[in-house]
Amino acid sequence: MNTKLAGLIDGRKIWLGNQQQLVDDFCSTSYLLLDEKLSGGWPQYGVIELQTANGIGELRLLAPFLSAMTTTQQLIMFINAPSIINSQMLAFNDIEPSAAVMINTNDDSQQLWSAEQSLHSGCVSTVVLWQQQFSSCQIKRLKLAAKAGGSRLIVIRPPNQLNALPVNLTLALMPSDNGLDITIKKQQGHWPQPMFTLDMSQQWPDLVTHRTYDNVITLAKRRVS
Amino acid sequence: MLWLYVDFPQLQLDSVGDKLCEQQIPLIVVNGQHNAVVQANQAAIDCGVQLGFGLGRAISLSQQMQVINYDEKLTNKLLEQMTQSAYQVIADIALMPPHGLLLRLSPMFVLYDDLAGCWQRVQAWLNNLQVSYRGATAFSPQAARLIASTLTLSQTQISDDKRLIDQWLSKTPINALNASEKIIEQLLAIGISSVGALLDLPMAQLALRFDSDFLTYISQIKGDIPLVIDFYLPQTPFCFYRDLNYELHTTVHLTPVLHKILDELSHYLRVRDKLALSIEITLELRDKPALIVTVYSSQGEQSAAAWQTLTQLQLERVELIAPVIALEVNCHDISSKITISEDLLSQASHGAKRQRLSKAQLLSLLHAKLGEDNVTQLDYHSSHLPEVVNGLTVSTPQSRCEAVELSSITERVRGGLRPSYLLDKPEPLTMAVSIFQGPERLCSHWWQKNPVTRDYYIAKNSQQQWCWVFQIPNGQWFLHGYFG
Repeated sequence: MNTKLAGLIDGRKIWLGNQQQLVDDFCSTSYLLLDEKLSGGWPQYGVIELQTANGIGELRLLAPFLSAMTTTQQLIMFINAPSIINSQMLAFNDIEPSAAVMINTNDDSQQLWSAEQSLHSGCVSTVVLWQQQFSSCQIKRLKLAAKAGGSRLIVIRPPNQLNALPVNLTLALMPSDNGLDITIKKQQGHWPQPMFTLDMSQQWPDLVTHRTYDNVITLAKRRVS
Repeated sequence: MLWLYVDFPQLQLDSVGDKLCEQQIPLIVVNGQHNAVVQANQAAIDCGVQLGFGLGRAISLSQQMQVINYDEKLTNKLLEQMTQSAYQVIADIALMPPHGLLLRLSPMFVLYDDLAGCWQRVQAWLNNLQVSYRGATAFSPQAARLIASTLTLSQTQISDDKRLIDQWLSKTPINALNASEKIIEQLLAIGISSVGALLDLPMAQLALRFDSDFLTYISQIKGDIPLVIDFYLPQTPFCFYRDLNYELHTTVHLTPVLHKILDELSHYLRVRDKLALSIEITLELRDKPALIVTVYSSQGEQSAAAWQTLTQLQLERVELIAPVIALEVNCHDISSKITISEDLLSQASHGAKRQRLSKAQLLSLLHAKLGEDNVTQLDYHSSHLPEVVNGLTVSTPQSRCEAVELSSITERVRGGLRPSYLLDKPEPLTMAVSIFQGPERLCSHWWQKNPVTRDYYIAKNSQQQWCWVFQIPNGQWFLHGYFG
């Protein structure tokens, strides 16, 4: 039993509370509720995993983070994005469009290669990678590359992934009426959080399902003779 | 005026891969026109081959004998390549076909002090070439050439002592002269067996017996009449040709061959303090048209290692339809070196130990590995049509707009909300959506070719994705993007 436990600890499958060195480098998410749940905000270094369907608000959630982390001398890499990243949206979120680079290739190993080179280069602030399957040693390798280059990796995977990856933070995103339903599945150094609803209607008033207008009076449907 | 004549009698043989030489395979170069062995390596000489043997006789001496056809063009090309590197040492060089170089040493004494210093530099250059050579100095080009032609391989006679040189010259046998056999026979008949004896005769006497060409030649040896020489002028574009003499079937095996050439390129660039922006590798294939691979570097590179990485990545993607028999590296795209000042402070604050690559270097690397089309840098053109903004449509020259900086964009975009993901082309809307915002009408300008009128709506589909859909005047609906 003891040897099994030691094996798990050596394999870094179990984290011990006293092993954990807490990082206090956080970047605000620009949502008070989310900052509170994440005990500060997005971790500035390492790997963040998002389990989400595309087109429900995942990039809108990330945009302030991408913008805050990127200096004028750095690039943002979008690897294997589902379709073209609109430069108008980037400009809207104060990200220089020419700083964004899209890489499209069907080969998983080439995607990982590009991600590693970019993270390692030192001239890239963030790599956003859409890919479903990872092994934990691939993530560890990317983590080391990110550490060497002072960059960060955001992995976007389809929802309901079963295998856990050695990432710093895992969020599961679900669409909701006024924003997103977020479950914090894993958070290094803190407890996971059950699902909560993040209201994004203030930041994105146009993308809200239920809207109550208090200045509209309904008229009786009666024809005037 | 002191001249040095360097002769490379085994140029073509030396250019053949070192592989064959190491394996002790007898190798001969045969001039097909005269059916004579013109170059032979040590292994072949050990078998008993002598220069001037016929092909049949030479082949019969060993089973393993490898025969290469003498190629004058190739020899000239090799000679030119050597001149390119010799120019770094000596200013006045002339090509003396078929396999010699003439160097004028006297003007270089200003730089290298004396003959010893000068010879030291030349010798270092010659040893670096890894070819066999012989050389001699004299006070006229023809005399230097004459003395050099009598030497054995890798023997040199270097001196600026007039008496010593005269001694060498007078000892030279008469048949070493670059004259017709008839003249040599004539000279031997009158009892002249060495050049010394010939030069002692008064010119007036020789004029009675021999034609004017021979007399000019003798005067040139004596130094009375100057030889007309075309001095080498350095060529700006870098060009290096390498004949493989064996077939390569995989690009992996090209790496060691390319490595040498890229070293040469790096040296070429370093002494000029230039950067190469692109290099062109021509792979000559057997029985197929040549394959040209162009390798780009957005920033410009000088070091062989950087070019090695880029070419290797590029070559990995190249499929060889036939074996490679020769390759040539050209470099026309050369720019002067610009020092980039790196931002020290921002790196320190981001905890990066060192910026390993610049942006341009990273992009070159990605381009080389994944191909130009798969790596796109986004840009922003000022327009209101989403395709034009993202540069997706090839706009007509009149409506072509330059990419704009962020600072000038921000104000304009705040109008309507734009999606994060844009589809390559609008797709017909096939699913049920509920509309929450809109319409917002976008029209193209009246002067543009393909008029566009679209009413855009923000809608949500059954999977709760926020869609950007539009309707065209005839009522058809299209999906154009998602608000990710």
